[in-house]
Amino acid sequence: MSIRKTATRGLTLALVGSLALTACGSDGDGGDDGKVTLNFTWWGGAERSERYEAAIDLFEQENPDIEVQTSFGEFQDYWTQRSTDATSAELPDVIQMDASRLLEYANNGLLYDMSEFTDGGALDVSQIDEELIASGEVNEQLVAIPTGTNTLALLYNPDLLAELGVEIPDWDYTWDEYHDFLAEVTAAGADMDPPVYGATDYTMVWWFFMQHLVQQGIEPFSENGEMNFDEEDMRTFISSTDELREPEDLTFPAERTEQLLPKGGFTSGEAAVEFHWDNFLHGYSADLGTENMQLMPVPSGADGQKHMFFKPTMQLSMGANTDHPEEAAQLIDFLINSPEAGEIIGTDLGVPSSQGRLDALNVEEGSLDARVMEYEQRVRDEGHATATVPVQPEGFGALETEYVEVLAQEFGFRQIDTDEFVERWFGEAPNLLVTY
Amino acid sequence: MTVTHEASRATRAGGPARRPQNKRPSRRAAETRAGYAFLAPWLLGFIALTAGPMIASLYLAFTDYHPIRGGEWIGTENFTRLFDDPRFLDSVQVTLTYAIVGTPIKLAAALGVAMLLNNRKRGKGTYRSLFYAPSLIGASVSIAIVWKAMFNDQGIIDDIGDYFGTWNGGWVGDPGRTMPMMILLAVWQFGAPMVIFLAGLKQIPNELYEAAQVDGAGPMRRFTRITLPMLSPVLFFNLVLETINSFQVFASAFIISGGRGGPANSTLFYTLYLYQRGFGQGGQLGYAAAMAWLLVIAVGIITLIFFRTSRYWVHYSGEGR
Repeated sequence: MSIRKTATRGLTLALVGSLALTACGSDGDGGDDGKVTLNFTWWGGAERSERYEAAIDLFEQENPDIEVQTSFGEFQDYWTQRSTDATSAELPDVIQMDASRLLEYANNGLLYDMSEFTDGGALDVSQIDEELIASGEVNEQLVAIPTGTNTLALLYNPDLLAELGVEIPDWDYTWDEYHDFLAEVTAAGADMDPPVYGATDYTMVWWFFMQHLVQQGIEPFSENGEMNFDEEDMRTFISSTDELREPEDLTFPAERTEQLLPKGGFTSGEAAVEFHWDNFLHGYSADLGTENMQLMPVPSGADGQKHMFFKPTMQLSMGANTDHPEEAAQLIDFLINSPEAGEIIGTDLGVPSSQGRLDALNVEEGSLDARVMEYEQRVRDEGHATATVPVQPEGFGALETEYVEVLAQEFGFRQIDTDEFVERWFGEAPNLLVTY
Repeated sequence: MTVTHEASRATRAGGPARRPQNKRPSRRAAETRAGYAFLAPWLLGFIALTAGPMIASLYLAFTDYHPIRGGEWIGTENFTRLFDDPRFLDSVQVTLTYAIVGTPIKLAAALGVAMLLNNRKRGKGTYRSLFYAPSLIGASVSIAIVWKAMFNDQGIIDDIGDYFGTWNGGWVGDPGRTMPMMILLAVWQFGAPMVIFLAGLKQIPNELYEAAQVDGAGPMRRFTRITLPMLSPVLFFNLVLETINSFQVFASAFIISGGRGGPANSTLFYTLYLYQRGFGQGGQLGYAAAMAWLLVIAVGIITLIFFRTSRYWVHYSGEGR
């Protein structure tokens, strides 16, 4: 065979091959059967995925001409993937959005303005509280719809506490009483195998720093992205649990946390309590394998008040690059308004923001859903929720990552002390925070 | 692939043997054209997927580029920031430890197994394949996951440790033991250098050993005086290759630490930190690009040092010295 012939044949083959690949590639968008394909992505664990998938099956049954392709990831990885999507203008049609990232995406024109669908269009937001809707508006554009609200809570494991013979404090407990409680649990659990601790060090959780500032009457950030706290505030906060770290370390050990990944100490039954958002009750109870898990509010601050806030959660946004805005709006409408979807999703995404959904939600007495809703109701009724959720400026998410992923790790292994923690966080912050 | 193979065979077969002298001088030109035609896909790929991005990243290294916000020219600020960054220094330390400790162990293991295999007469092919197998699958995601499971608390390694009353608590969570674990994973994949060593060992003439034996040289002396010098070019090749590879380790560290470089930055390899900076942590692509170029320069310098010092210890037979 001559070289020329071989060459021609080879090139032809390569050409045919690449054409075939191109043909495959274009299949994802529509195809011949007239179906519209939507991409929908969220963060969360297996528990949430099962709920979402079930809801989406229902949506696909009701809308046979729409196919929804789903994907999900763990919170930090999720945002890594979204930022790569954003760079190549390939954001999914429907995205689960978080307030900590909202401005970053909205200010850079990456989110679709959904207001065109809300005026009697495909997307009905009439059931949602106006203040909540406002949380999804940026630069006079409606770029995110909150599916619910959540608030911080102390999740606790009553079975474990009963086993240890330690009683959970009352709702009006203070931070000092909380520390005493943790010490008591750790002492009682020391002989167990593996040893049981009170909890992880909450000063290593960014949102508790926020809650701490709010309890001091400090609004952490201004609208323009300015920081209203200083090194001293952070140092005071982290030092507040010094008594739990010294002379004896009573906090859940970082080494053990590392071994238990992807679970945590609390969800492995090796810590009795854990601070988190109240809607984590679902995922946490699934991880621990028991329905017996309860909620408490955060401890009271120096003035005896809790200054809690409700956060709009799990917003749904549309990528500005979407080819099917109409259908994407339809999906969001379904997820926030459909009573059937609400039944499936429950309060896993927070207590539903839509009043109609909330009314239709048929919660069983004593179920996890009921517990989350009752908890939020009681927090409201007893007047603990007196603060508004802190402003989350552009770069807020990155500030949180630096705090909880980077520095908390090194602090947990006692490689850096409080001063180094504070110094490094404030050194990095200007690179992450965007001010106007 | 097949097409390329066929073509190269055709070139070889139809090359010097069949080419008639002074006849159809255009033949060469046609071959050149065909050569470039075959080269074209690779060349295009190289320009579009390697050279282009490299030039782009060189530019990015001098900006504060963010994947969403874009960026501006900030001069050498990224580079000056690097040297004040404790995690950067951690990552350099982790990577250097891995390269300096891991590479010699891996090469020693590869050479040892190659020598054992070289002496065997029967079943050599089977053993060679068996020893090579980890290298085929070792770089994969699944092995890193298996590795993590093995070294985890209550994993098999921990159980063995328990039996002897040591090593309590698994390696994955202990910052002091993650590096040995990573090095073991690398050493276990000694297949590629082993095969190259094996080829090198075959090149050593048996007469040398026989003569040495007659002169009364023991096995140790034969190894240091014959095998090592004769093998030095191959050793040099493997050393350069493995060192460069160890500077670029990413996948196993990413999976074993869940992308976080933990515990306590003990698996924060240079490339992993680069990735974290570029795509996690507020998307500082400019900073990450600066790190990437620093790595290129560092690896270049190290390779240069190897080449410069090679004349003192690499022996090429036939080089009448």
